[in-house]
Amino acid sequence: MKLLTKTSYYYIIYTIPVLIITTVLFYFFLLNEIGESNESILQQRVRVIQNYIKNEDDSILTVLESNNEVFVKEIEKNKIITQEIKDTLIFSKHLQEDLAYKILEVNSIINGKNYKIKVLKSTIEFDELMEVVLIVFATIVFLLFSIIFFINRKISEKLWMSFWFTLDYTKKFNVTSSNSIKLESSNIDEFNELNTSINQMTSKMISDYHNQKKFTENASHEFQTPFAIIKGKIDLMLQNKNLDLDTLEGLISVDDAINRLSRINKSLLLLSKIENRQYSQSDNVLLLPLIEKCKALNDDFILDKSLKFIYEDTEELYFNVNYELCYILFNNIMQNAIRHNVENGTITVLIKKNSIAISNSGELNPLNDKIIFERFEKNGTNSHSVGLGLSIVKEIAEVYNINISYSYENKLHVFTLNQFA
Amino acid sequence: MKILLVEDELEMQKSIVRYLELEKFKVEVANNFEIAFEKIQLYEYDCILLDITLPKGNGLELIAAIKANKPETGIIVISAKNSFDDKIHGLNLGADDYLPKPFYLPELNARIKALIRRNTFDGVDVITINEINIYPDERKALIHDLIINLTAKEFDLLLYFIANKNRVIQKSALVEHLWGDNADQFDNFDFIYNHIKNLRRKIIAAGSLDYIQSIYGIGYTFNTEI
Repeated sequence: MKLLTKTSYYYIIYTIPVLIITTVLFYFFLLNEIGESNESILQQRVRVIQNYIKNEDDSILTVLESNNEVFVKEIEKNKIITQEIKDTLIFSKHLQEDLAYKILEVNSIINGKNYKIKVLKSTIEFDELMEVVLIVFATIVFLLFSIIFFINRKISEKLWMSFWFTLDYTKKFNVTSSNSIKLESSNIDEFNELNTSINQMTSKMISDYHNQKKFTENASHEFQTPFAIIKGKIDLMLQNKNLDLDTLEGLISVDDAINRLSRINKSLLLLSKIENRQYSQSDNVLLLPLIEKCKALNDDFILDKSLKFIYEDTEELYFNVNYELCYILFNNIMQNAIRHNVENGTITVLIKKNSIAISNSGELNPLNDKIIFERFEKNGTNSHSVGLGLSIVKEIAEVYNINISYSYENKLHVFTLNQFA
Repeated sequence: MKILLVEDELEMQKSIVRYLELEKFKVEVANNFEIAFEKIQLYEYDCILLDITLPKGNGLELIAAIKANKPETGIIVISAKNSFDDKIHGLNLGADDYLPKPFYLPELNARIKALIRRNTFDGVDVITINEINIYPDERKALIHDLIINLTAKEFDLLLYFIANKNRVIQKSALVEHLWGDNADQFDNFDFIYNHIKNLRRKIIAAGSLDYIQSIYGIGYTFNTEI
């Protein structure tokens, strides 16, 4: 539910009881006022009648009596009628319905005679009053809600503009982008505060991100020196003629472990450099010569497994990518295709107008394409593999808008790449 | 042959000095930029090993100073920063080689020897071990004055063995020398075995002694003292 709808909803919820209570109060107040005013009008009439009687002005009295507004009657001298106001209904022949009347009866002694004076006045009926009150109430409700709706509309357009801008900014915010635009201050305190906090938060995020980047890079560099020291000591100790074979073998194992650590470290460093977009320059790289270069560099390993290397299609396809990274990308795929291949297996390269596919024979089971690009995801028990090769491939592909997908077709593992502009 | 090692890590220093002294090099060390700068001005070296991350200055700046003083001095940059840019930058400034840490000491040794050889003989040289003569620039090897047919890999192997003769060399050091980073991904180094076997066979067939000895589970040694 939108904030605006919610606000309006609460307005209505709280306004309705208030309106109902005031309407009820208004009704009774009106009723009371009308009653009081009727009473004073009736009393005034009594005094006028008394005056007419005193002046023996019978003609007016007759007119009034014929109108059914006044009744004057001489009564016994000692009879006293206490003043009292009563309600009654009188059938109107003209309107063909009962009308509400107020009646005031009193006796008064004028010129030595006792008169009973009865004055009538038609008054408003309860249901009529109720009707009026309800119409007023409904009008108020209608006008009030229309105005609330209208004002909210205006508010959302004008006041919230700054909020929508902020929201748009946070949606588009990217910690890796170097140009950090700040939110401008708004003339509304709340939004101003929001923008200030978002600005603080984003600059903290950006600086944290940069520190982390720097840290990863520095840490990786710092690791290489101790590795070099250990390796140097091992190389020296190997030259010691007094060491027995067991000790030498131990040293070789240590060296292997250090090599592995160093490889992991190098791969992580490469990953962080790619992530940090430290390879800025990109070239139009023609793929076929690059593939041939990768093949040549891995020839020994291809021969070692007696693999058959097949070019199925060799169209002219370019990738717009940093040359060094492009080489790493295809070399990793190629090495992967060799490493996971079987003796006398095949590697097939298929370069089409807008895509390149490298497929290899291997294990007779499709790989899990959801995890093969994950870091440290190893297939099988290959202790020398670090498990970063394909994540480096993925990372490079992502930076240069290259789509890479894996499929298992005709007992071949196929990696297909295509660059979208 | 005199070498200057510019390196601030003491243990690294010690290992390199010890290994190079085994090879009969005279090695001097400099711990920081200032000492290195001073030594460059005062003495002559055949080769300078330069760590570029130094206290009190950037090692890359030393390259210019060396080249200004004695342009014929060989420079090998050894760096923990295995960055492509640094490498290109260093080589552009006049360094002759770039070796990222960590490295194998036999590798460093082989590169120093190759560099000194190139600088000293102007490219016309021969390495002689008993009956074996090697012409590195022509990539030619002769045994008893007869050319033996070696593949590129076998030739590189032989050169590496001779540079590190009588040293124990790990299998993985050989692999790294021949294939570099490309061998990282592969799980077994058995393919090196074929190259060594063939080289050994060709040397013996040419009437030479069986210099290449394998040490099971460790690696190989090119033993000239048999």
